Amino acid sequence: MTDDAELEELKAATQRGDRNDEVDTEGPTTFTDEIVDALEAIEQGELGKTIAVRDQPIAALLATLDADGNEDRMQSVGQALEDELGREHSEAFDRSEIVRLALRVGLQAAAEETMVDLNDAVGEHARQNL
Amino acid sequence: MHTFAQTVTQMSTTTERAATFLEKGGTGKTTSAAHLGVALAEAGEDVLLIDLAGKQGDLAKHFGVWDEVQEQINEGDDWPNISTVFAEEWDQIATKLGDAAVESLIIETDEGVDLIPAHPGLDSLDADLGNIDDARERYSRLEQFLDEYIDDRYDTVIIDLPGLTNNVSYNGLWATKHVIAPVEMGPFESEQAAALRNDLEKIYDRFDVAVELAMVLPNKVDRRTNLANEYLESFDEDYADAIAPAHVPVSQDIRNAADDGQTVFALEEPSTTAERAREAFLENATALQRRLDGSA
Repeated sequence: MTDDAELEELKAATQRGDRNDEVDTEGPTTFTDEIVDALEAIEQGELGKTIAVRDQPIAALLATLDADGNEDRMQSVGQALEDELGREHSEAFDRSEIVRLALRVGLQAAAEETMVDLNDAVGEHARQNL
Repeated sequence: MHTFAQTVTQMSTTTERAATFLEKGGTGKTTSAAHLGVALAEAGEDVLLIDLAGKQGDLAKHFGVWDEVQEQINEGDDWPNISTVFAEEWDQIATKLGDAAVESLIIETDEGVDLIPAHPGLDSLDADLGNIDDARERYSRLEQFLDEYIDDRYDTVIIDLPGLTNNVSYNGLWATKHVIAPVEMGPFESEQAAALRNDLEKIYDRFDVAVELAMVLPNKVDRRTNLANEYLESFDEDYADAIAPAHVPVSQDIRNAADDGQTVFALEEPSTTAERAREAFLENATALQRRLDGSA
């Protein structure tokens, strides 16, 4: 075996991805495939990657959390959301991060299967783009 | 038997190691690792920081080099990486690649410290380490890597650990034998610092490995509040042998600097609190250095 081939073998044996790359290998659902397609469309610029919602009370809450002097409140909200998701605590949050976390916590609580599909789709999309 | 001169020479070439750790998020582990590292570098030390705290790469973000790391990952140019050094095959890989094996792990920052950034592979590393039956082998992979490949390259290595006890953080404790525990002035931190001291005693009882609480570092201290002052006094009393000489004041500038990918040492026009934070980290870095090399 050449040095290069040995090195490739070592690389294959030791290269590790994150949890999403190591998800089980059961066939994905059709819904998961559709999300993978949507992720690809976003990657290609065919779909937008931002989301916007009209919601006056939530907009007011986020603006207040983001105001000077409320950093501790913002951090405690953010870290509580991270706790729900079993994530490491971050130190600083912005409005977008709070919304991203809150959406995931809500979906996880109310539609767990859908979140499993999403996570599978993210993993599959990452694999396809290795 | 070593002569005194030999002993002094050996001490001066030893790489000192410490890890920032407390089983609680958001107490400033990453910020402390970054700032103590830069403070030591300002004092003329060659410093390496290692980020084991999670795939989000906060330490690399703190030095504005996360984009570079992400680019390597996106281009598939991210092997070997920090998760690879825990692999059984690491020695073989290092033999094949030579110096490039270690050099490819390290990124130079603009603030005088070198960094081995986090990698997404850390995410699944913990479970794989859990499959190693022999506990000593499971917890000593990082120590073996530092012993053989990092010592002599640097004066000081500081490792930022996850805010939870797992196989990765145990590797960090094992490898450094010295913990820096940043604490905010609150009841949970007080409990967690006590729990940490208990854990270190258990590690010693079970494995005969002495991990020392090198520094309890009061962080984000707001001396305008009575409660903060009370907690500060209480930490002073409870950790008289480990308390840092200077507390780090609460400062929006530290957060802003981190968001901009730098420490407060890089600020061109630091505010008063940023200046105080700098002075605190410099004083604490000097104390840390003395505690690590045993001259304190």
